[in-house]
Amino acid sequence: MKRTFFALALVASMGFAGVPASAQIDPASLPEPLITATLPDKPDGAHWVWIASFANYAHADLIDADSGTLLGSIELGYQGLLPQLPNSADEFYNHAVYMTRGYHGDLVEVVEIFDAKTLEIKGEIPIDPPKAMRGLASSNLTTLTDNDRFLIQSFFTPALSFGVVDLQERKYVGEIETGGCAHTMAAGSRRFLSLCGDGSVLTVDLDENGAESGRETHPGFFDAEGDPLHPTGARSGDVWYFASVRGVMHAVDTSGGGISFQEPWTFRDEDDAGVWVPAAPNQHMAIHEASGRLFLLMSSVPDLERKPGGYDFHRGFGFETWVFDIESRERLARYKMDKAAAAVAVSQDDAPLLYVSTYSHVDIYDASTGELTRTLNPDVEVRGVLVLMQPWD
Amino acid sequence: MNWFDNISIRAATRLADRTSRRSVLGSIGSAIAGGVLLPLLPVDRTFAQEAADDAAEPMQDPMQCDYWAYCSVDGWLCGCCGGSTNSCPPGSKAAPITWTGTCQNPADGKSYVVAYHDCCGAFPCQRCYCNTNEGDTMRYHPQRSNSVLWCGNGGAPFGYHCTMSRILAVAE
Repeated sequence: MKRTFFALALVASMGFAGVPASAQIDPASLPEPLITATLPDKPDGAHWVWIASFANYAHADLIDADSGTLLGSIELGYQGLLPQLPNSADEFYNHAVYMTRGYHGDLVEVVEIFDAKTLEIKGEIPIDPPKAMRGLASSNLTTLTDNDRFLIQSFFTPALSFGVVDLQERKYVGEIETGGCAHTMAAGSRRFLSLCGDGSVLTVDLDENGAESGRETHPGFFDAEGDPLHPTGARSGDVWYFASVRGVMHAVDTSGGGISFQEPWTFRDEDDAGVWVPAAPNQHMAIHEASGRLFLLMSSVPDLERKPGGYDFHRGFGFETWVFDIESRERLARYKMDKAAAAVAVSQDDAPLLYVSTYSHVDIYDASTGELTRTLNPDVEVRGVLVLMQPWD
Repeated sequence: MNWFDNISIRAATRLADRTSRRSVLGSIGSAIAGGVLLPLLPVDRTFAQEAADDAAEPMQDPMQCDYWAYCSVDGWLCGCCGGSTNSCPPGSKAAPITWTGTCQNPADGKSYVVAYHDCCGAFPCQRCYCNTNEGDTMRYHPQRSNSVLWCGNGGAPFGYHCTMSRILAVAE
């Protein structure tokens, strides 16, 4: 018995002796400090991406896409969208809606101001009365003007209108009634545009305080009944691109303070799988600015016929991502997706990553080759129903 | 068990070469209907294929997603939540302002105007997700768009619970 005791003591002492010094706790260092981490400085070449999850009360995770590491999270509010990231600032914004009793009670609408390092809410700007549009999470429902001063929100009461928040003065400026125009896209320092139900483009100019100083309707941009545009387009420089349900690209150039429409071009195609048209779910287009490549989720459908009630082919998932050169309009590649896709985004560096959400996963492709390089898996790297993505370059 | 484990969506969304596109989407929809909350997300007809095999009267069972009046719905069916096609479940309130669709009843060949009322102000139902989209329009045509949340309008609370499909009239 005594021999056994000494043997155990020897083994135990050998075990402790084998513990690396780094794993040993210096009693003098206790108690450990109680702190909240801040985001590290983003290393050059790193790929960080915000991934928004739509689950009634929503959240967004900031993921290091190169390692799959979760860096931090924020709440987005009820049926929230993506945070709005200014070009250069130590803060960013989230247009949020809450109810005071969970799923009922008074509606509270605010623009939350996040510290970009700590992810703490350092302030909020109330929007009263609340009129936020919610529903299918999709891109272009809120936008920052190009000078990062004004945040435009979509309203629905069910009249369509927009709200303007002055981020510099930290106040809600007011509502701009637009009558039949939805989605908001930045088109200058104090200007935004919207797509309208009569096929026109509406531009709204703001004065230095964010109040409307002028508006102009530009008719004939698209056929709103016969071939409506998906409003979830993307921007390159001063040009916004929008794909129609039947696979025709429309572009509106906002340079010089004016508006001009580029000649539309048809890109749908047909093969054994059927007719290829834009997929619709949540965020179907992304542009890599430096290379001028446009990435578009595409879905194949049996035909483009209308049923008695209307189209039903316009909300499919993406089974391929098509790559276009926006200058030549040439289709450069067709990337087959590993899983049915709902959203696409691309980083803006010179080794760009193509982020593709399948609601449950985020597949990451080499944007230059279409090679699947990494998958962010549910409950490992990502969580929730993943609907929108925003690279934080 | 985590809600995402419950739906096993990772398996449902795998695009195996041997699997047809429609069946993949059906799987996604079935997985979603199995217990997760996905209001207003675009998936294919959730129950259509199963119902087609079983229903004595095709497209006439309001408990199935292929019920003819659901041709432009996007949400949880109130009939699965304690309500019906024209009644909100107890504890929720109807949004009086709606989007509408035009659906054809195969029993008489007539088209009908259907109002899709959201029921609001209760915990999300999360049963019988159904998304069909026939005639659905973009948000700049909101009166026929199922992509916007109609709760919060006309005095209804903002939180979404489920969707009714109320037949209004024969379409002219």
